[in-house]
Order: sequence, then structure tokens, then C-alpha cells
Amino acid sequence: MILLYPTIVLLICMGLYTVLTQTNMIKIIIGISIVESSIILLLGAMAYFPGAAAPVLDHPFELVADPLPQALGLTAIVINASTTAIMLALVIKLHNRYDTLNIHEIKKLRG
Amino acid sequence: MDLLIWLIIIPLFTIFSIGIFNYINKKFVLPVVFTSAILQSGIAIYYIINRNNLLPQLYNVGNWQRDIAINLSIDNFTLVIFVLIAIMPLLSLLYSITEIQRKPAKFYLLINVLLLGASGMVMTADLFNFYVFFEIASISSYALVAFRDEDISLEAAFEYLIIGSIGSVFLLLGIVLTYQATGTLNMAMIPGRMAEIPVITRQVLMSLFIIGLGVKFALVPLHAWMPDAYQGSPISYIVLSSGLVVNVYFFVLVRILFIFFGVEFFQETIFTNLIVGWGVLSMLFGHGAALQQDNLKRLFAYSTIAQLGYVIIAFGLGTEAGIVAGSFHLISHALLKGAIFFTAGNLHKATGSYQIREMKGMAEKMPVMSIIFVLMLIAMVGIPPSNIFVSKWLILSAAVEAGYLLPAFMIVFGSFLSLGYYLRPVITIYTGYTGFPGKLPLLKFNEYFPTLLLAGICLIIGLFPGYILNIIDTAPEFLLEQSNFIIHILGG
Repeated sequence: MILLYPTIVLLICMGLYTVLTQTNMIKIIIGISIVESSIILLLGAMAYFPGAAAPVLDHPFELVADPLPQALGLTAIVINASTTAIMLALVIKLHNRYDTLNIHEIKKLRG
Repeated sequence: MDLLIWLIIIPLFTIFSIGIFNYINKKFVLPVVFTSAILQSGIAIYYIINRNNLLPQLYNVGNWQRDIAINLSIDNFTLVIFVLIAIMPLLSLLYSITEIQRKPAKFYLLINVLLLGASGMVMTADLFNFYVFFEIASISSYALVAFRDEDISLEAAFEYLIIGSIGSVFLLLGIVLTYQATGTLNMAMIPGRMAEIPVITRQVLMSLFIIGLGVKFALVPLHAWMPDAYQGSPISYIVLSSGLVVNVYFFVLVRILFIFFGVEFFQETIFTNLIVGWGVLSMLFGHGAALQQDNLKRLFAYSTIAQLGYVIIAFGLGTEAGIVAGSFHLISHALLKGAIFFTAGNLHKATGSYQIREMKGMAEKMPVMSIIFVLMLIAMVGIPPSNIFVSKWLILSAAVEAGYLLPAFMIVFGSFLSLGYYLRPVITIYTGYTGFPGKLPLLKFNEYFPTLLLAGICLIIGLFPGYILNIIDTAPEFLLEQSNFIIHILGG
């Protein structure tokens, strides 16, 4: 548990570093997915405390994990999946047009 | 009457019916889309007209306790965006009838998703739903930027998608940390608990919100996607984005900053100076970058960035006059920029290009449209009797009143700077007639009507600013006094 928050920070930094330095579009998408997943890990970590049960209240528990971050986490997972899908769809289209995955070779937009 | 929820139900219902009617008979799609757009405008107009006896209004979805409920709220500050919801979507859809020839049903579907997200963001009173609506609007924007399926639009969409995803990660981080620090996501309960947490934490949260939402309304270091996205996307989407959606993101940021942190917090720390300075920087950068553009769409994208700089200055002052002036500029810029983009789209019919250098002697081909274009460009600089003149005057007097003389000077300086690039297309259009090959394209009703209507509205606002000022003059009550908003949401 002590290492959880440093791990999240490390993951966010790793993801951002990947986005900033890579030139391959697929690798950029992987970087964004790492950042997004680390936020979901943060949401899970926030809700949990030692000894907490899952927030399913069909019979009485004394210690229950906070359900709101988990619900937000589920929403974020769905949203991340859809953005990743759009990104990959765009990559397929761009690869068909330009025959490359390198973002430095895709530059018709200069004005 | 509680019509608030219908601003969310109608677009949702339209999204599904477009799919069904497109499958049965394509003729039914347009009537369905326009009925829904007229109904949405009607609801917005209903609230604007009956503002004195309806506002503020709260709709509690599911009748839960108010502190854990899904609240939709509308108060006098929300009316700033309702003015735009009443006008922009309908005209943008009208213009798109002839512009979108390929897969129109998909375009209308995406536009309705965008409208759903925009109305939701404006009305919601808790951060969880705000995040959901934010992403709904964002994802449909990404798809709409790529809609024309050309090389540049795909490239712009990918760029926007990368920048936008990073931005929404920061926004989610801000929301998550707000929850961690305060233990609630209800926008009315956060301010009370926010006052108890350390100043440094509040500053971090504020920075996260500014970055997350700043990406979406093209705050200056995060603006790179906007000119590219506008260059590649259809005019109907640009008008809706520049005229409504960008303003919605800005509106939500203003509400979050003022309600969560309070004006006192800005005035105690250096943030007032920082935000006003940031606005000046945005404005000068936007004007400077626009000077170098040769593509009309890119030029006006940079001009939008610059005009939002004026709004940032006005709201950054944190005074009542500043908020009224900022709201007025938000509305009048959105209307005028919509008209300008429509005109640029109409002029495009003659040359088939958005490059300024290829528009030589356009005035002889399209005399009426050219004159309107010139008048609107001059109005954009702020010559009376345009609506921009009124709003710049209000911002200037608010800035001088609050003691910000250098920003006030920069507003005037920026306007002169903007004359440089607004006059360039004017000169090109009226000189060097070489004769176009081919026939003059005739404009259809749905192409010139939105242009003329928006230009007319701008002129009327310029001549009689009282109509809009009456709507927004009570807006500061719900921003400057957090207690008003809290009582409105949570009850006495």
C-alpha cells in the first residue's frame, strides 16, 4: 500500500514521457492508455482501505469500500475504451493514406 | 414548468430516431432533425423570456436527497449559453443541408451528440455528470473533425484526439483529487469544504481544472489543435464549435473557478494578475499568429483564440462589471464569428479554395456577399455600431475601473493589430480582378439566410445592446456570491 501512490505517479510520468517522445502513432496511443489506466488505478486506490469489503450491500458489512470512485472508474474505463477505439480507427485510415505510422511523415497541415 | 431535462432527452431521442428513420426512409431524417433543433431552441428561448419568474430553477433527477442527487440547474449565468443554444444549432444545421452531401444522417447524429454534451455540461451541478457530458461532447467533436474524410481532416483529428485525451486525463485527475480532498462531487457542497483545505492543494486543483478545460477552449499554450481542426472540418461544425461548444467549455471553467475557489481566493493570491496577464498573452498571440495566415479558416481560428483572450481578461478582473462585459463579449463574438464563417463558406463556392491569395477580385463575382463579409470583418475590429464595439467598450471600462490600465491599453493595441489581418482579405477581394473561369454559383436559400440572419442579429445587438444586457445583468449574482449558488442547489 505504501508503494501504491508512488507507482501511480511513476505510471503517469511514464505515459506522458511515451506520448512526448515516441514518433510511432501506436506507441503514442499506448502512452495515453498508460496515463488513463494509472488514473483508474488511483480511483481504485482511493476507494480501498485495509479490511474493506466490496460495496455490495446485500447483507450488513461494517467496513465497505467507497463506491463512488469505483463508479467513476467504471465510467472512465468505458470512455477510455471508446477514445482508444477512435484513435485506432484513425490510425488505420491514416496508414491507408500515407503508408506509414511515423507522425513526422504525416504533415500536410502547415499554414 | 420543468423543461430542463428535455434539453437532454430531446437530443438523445433524436440520436436514436435518426438511426431508425435512416433505415426506413431517408426522407424522414431532415424533418426529425429540424423538429428536434427547433424544440431545443424553443426551450432555450422559453427560459430566456420567462427568466424573471422561472429562474433559478433546479431539476432533481429521481428525487433523491439534494446532496447526493443528480441535479440539473439553471440560473442567470447559464442564460449566457442559452442565448447561443437558442440561435447557433438551428442555423448551423440549416447551413449543413447543402454542405454535407456524404452521409448526412451520420453528421446529424454526431451534431446531436455534441449538443447533448454541451447542454448537459452547462446545466449539470455535479462533477461526475459533468465529466460524462464533457467526454460525450469531446468524442463527438473528434469524430466531427474527421468527418470530411480527407487527408488533412484525419491528421487534424488525430492531433486533436491526442491533445484532447491528455487534457481530459488532467481534468479527471482534478475531479478525482477534488473528491479525495473534499469527499463530495456535488458542486454546491465543494466550496464549503474547499475553504478548509491547504492553499497549495487548492492551487494544484485549480491548475488541473485550468489545463483540462483550457485544452478544449484553446488557451494559448494548448491551442495548437484549433487551427488544424478548423482547416479540415466542415463549416457547419466550425460554426457550432466556435459559436457554442468552445464557449461552453469556457463557461464551465469560469463556473468551477468562481464557485469552488471564490473571488477572494483569487484576490488574496496572485491569480487575478496571472489570469488577466494570460488573457493579454492569448490575445496578442492570437492576433500575431493570425497575421501570418493565408487560409481563411486558420485565420479565423486564430482570431477566435484572440477573442477568447478578451473574455479571459474580462472574467479575470473578478468584478461585476467584468463578468457582464465578458458574458457580452462571449455572446457577441460567437454570433459574429458564426456569421463570418458562414460568409467564408459562401465565398468558397466561387473559388473552391480558402486561400486568401486565390480570392482576387471576388467582389465582382459575388458583390452582395463580399460587402457583407467586409462589413463583418470591420465589425470584428470593433467599429461602432457593431456589437463587438459595445463589448470591447464594456471590457475596457471594466478594466480601467478595476485599475488594470496596461491590459486596457493592450485591448486597444490588440484591436489595431487585428485590423492588419482583417483588412488583408478585404484588399484582396476588391483588387486585381482577373476573371474566374466557369459560371457564377447561385447561393441557395439555406446558404445565405443563416449568414444574413446572424449579421442582422449582430447589428441589432450593436444598436440596441440593452436586449442582451437585460438578459445577463444578473449573471454575476450567481458567480461572485457562492452562497447564492449553494442555496439554489441545496435549498435553504
